[in-house]
Amino acid sequence: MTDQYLRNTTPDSISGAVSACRGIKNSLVLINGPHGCKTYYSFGMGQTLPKASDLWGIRGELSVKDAFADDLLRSQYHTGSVHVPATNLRYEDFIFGTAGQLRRALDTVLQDRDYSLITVIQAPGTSLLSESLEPLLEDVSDRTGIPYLYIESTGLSGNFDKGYDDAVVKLLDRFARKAPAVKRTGARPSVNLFGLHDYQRYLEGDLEEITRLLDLCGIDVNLAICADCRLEDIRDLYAADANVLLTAERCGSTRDHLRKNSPIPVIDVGWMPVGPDLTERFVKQVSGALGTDCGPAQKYIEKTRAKIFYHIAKRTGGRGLPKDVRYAAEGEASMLYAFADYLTGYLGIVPEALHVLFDGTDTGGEEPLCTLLKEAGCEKALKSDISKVKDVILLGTANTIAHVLSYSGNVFGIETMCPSSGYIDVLPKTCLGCTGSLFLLEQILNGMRLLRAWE
Amino acid sequence: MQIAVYGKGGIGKSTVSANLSAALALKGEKVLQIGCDPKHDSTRLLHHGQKVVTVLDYILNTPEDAQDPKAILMQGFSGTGCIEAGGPKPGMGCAGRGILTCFEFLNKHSVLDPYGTIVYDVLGDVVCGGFAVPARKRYAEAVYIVSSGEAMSLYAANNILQGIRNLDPDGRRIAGIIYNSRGSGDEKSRVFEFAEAVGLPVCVSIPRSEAFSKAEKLACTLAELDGSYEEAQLFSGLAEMILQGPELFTAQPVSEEAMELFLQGKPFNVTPGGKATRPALSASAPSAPAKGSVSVNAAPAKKKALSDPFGRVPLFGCAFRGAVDLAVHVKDAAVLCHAPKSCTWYAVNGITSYSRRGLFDRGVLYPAFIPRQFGCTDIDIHDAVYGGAGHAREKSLELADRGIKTIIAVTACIPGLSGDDLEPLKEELKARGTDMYIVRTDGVEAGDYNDGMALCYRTLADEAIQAPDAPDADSINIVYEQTWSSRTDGDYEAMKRIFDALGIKVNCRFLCATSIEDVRRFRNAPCSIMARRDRLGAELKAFLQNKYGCRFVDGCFPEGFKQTADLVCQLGKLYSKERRAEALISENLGLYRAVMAELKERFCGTRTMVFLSRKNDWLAELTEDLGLDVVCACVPQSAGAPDTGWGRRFSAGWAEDRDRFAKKTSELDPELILTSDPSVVPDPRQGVSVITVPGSVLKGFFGAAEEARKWARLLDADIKGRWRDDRSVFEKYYS
Repeated sequence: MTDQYLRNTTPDSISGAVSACRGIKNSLVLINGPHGCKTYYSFGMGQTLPKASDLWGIRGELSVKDAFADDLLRSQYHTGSVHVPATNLRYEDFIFGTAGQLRRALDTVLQDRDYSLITVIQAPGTSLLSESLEPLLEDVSDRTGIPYLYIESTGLSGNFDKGYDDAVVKLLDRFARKAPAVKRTGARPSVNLFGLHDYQRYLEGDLEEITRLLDLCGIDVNLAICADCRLEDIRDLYAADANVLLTAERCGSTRDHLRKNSPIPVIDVGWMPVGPDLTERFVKQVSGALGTDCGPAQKYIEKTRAKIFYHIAKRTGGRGLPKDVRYAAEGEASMLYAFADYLTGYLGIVPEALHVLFDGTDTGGEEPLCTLLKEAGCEKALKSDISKVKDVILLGTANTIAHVLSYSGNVFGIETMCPSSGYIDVLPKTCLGCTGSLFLLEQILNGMRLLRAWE
Repeated sequence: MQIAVYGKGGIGKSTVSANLSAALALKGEKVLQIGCDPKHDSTRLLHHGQKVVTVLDYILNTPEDAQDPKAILMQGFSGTGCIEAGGPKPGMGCAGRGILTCFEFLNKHSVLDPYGTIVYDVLGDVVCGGFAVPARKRYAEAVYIVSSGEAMSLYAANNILQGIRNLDPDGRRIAGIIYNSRGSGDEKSRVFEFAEAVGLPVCVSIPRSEAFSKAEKLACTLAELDGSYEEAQLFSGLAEMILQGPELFTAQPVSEEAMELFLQGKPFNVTPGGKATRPALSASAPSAPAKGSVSVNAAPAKKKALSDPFGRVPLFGCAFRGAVDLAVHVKDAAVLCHAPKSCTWYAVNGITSYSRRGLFDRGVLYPAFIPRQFGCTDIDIHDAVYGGAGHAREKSLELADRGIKTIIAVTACIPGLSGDDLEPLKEELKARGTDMYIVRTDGVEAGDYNDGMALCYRTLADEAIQAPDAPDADSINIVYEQTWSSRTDGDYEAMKRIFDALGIKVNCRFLCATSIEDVRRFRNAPCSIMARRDRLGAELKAFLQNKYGCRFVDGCFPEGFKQTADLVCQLGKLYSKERRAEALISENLGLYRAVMAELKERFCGTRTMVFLSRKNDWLAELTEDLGLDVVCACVPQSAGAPDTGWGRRFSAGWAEDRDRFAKKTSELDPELILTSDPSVVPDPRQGVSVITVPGSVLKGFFGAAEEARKWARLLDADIKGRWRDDRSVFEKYYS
């Protein structure tokens, strides 16, 4: 049942597809589904993510009109989100076909807003109808001049990463210009980032940190796919010098697609840079591939190492973190690998339980994790039940933290994924790179105090 | 007698059906023919090619409360009734669903009742659950299969038998084969050979004849054209056979391999029991199909057709979600979602959002919102196509093996579309000592969030509540608490304090943070109280009163001093605790007066306008007790319709009310506006304070007074802040 709980509290493939598509600036993601799906994918999603109402884009393309557009949210197609409405289907639409209501919805929604992309995603029920809606979308697109993407099915019980990954491939396939774009002379090398999405707890801060690290390597970020990028950036995807894949599970099909179609190289990192060691490996790998100097980035990482040492030494007198402190974490295998590399490999904390989400994706993310745990003699963490842990620092979603707390009061939760508890971040935060190493350490040190306080 | 005529597309089912209907009518039968084919030409020969209004087109384009079955019922030859189900355009929608919808409409309006014989003319093959409807138990008693001797026609006939066997393995439903000759080769012998193989009689052999073409051209049946035609006599004979009560047989299709050999003209083995030696059974007297149920307190609200762009009031949350949200409140039961992961994720994510928020905002863990025993069948595409009941069984048995004694199974849209039936599973689990309650929110037509809650309430009220075993005269049930509000705990605690003061125990909270044991012992309490009042609550209350004779306290959880005092008085009388009640009221009255005296200093005489989306008793009491000078009160909805505020908000009427209110505001020059909807005052002039009034306040003596304290704090701290001046800067950088 524990596995069921965690499975049920992790997002599904439609959420993944929605996340990918609404990660394109000013896109309209229309769920073609009944009122239930409408609520969950528009209102529910808004409530799940830190962006709250979705009126505010993470890079701030808020318009005052959206923020105060109460009339808009009063229409039958919206529930709390301007960018993810739904067609509000009724039973009869399943009989007569959904095209009529889809057209009405698009006509209304497109009336007073300029969107850069229309994505129509079929809800579970409508995906079974096998309707051919492309002619209608073609017609709307011709009339409005807005390109469209139609996702007929994301699978009925698929996981988030699969839905996200498949949607990214569809976007690339449909919109990326095949030939490499002409590069500006004298321009710095640039990369495309793959594997970032808004179910990460701190997407805005994550992007800032990776951009900062690459900048120190003399590399620009051309685009972070589906992380508030523009559709135009996707069209000019190959104006960059390389594609950087960050999380194996989120980039399985994308990797295959790029290897087959991309005229620029693919740098398959496979994990997120968490902690100073992986961060250093990351900058070396990317700058090595592009022939730039990563010295300034290394200097930045070195200073971070010094700061980490200072804070640990200050609190523990050089003995290191207390040996009885344990941590537990959930996430994709590659994310767990990154956390384990920092928390176990670098900080020396023993993992109590590591729960792999979205297992069975077969994207190669588990191998590095297993190797790392074997070398550390901690393989049993993969078999432990995360819902039964106590006296631990727990990295995961707020759902899992609440669940574990319902069994044991002595747990310190660190949110690394959504859904979150609802804490509003005004200052961007991150678990990645140098800033992330320090932010995680800060929480761990304070968490240890809390755990001790309960003893 | 209800007859279904099946057969391969284009084989002549409609011609056979119409001629049969005509022959039956001429024998004095009151006949209704229903064409179950989207191309809606089944009854053409009976009504001579009139313009057809199909049932589904009618449903789509006519407001529900304006629907009249006469509009879809045509009169045909010799008084026959003619109905065409219709369907979507080719390539769109789901015609099978359409058939189901058509039958629901016909049942709802009792269209079939006046007819003695009903002939269903059904599309091609048993292609899906929808087209199988006429063959289901409660509809056709006798199934005729029209076939020629052509290979594909016989193949389709065998498939139809297979479909009927799946629906009703042991039922005697098949009357026989109607051989409709195409006039080619040795087809007759093939038809008879096939009939023998599947153990069915060939009821009539219809020759290929020019007479049919002639009648077709004139859009009439043979009987009308010329009853003396030999072919017309054949139908007359068939009609006579039907009226006598045809012999009926079980469906015994031959295997696919055997069928293949047969079609190739090779020797083949018939499946065991496939000979026509089985005992025949006469059809019983016609029985009326089941009628659709009608809600106890259906409101006669005006509705619009779904094709009307303003015909869809936005609904929030589906029935599945409503049922799941409620089911998790039975703490010792496992909730099994028979659904895809997508539906389960959104349900669980919604439920757990309360626990996450509670944890963060208040540092409180709400166990009801962290459902531990929660399963999902993770329906995949295979389950959707082939049915997922087996998968549900697997998961349920897993739960039972784990020692779970109560499972609440909630079904989502997909099992509804694929027609999963969990009833046999329920029986199987019962035998193993686990109770299963099935909440059938399966299908988009199951309604919205409230409908799902209603189904869950009704299912548990109907099936779980037992006879009283240990009545407790000093106990009370709480019914219909809000299960998704952060106020619920506070309200419960406030009410519990009142009950405690009177010496009354809470027996069962139906259904909020409760247990299946408490639900079963519901009737041990002599009295119940509704926590809130709306249409769904009224239906639930009526159900409990009608089924179990439950007694309810008048009204619901009280808001404001007066309501609370009235309730305490009433409880005092009901439980013979008058003196305690009097003491409780008197003690709180003194405190209330003191609080009001203090607040009155701030509010007395303030020129106030009120805009509410519904009537609000506590606010009326409070404005009076505070001495507010209410110069205008706008309450668009009548007091009798407490649940219509939401729909109102999404209507054109709302905008009119808002405009009227804005006009009044400039005329009356108020100092304070109390409104349930701040968007009616988007831009208040300088010096006017706007306070958003909640729909409800904390229950008990002091909830309304506390609300007034908040107003005072708001009014005393009306500092705008200079951030508003930076709007232009914001637009410079962000827009």
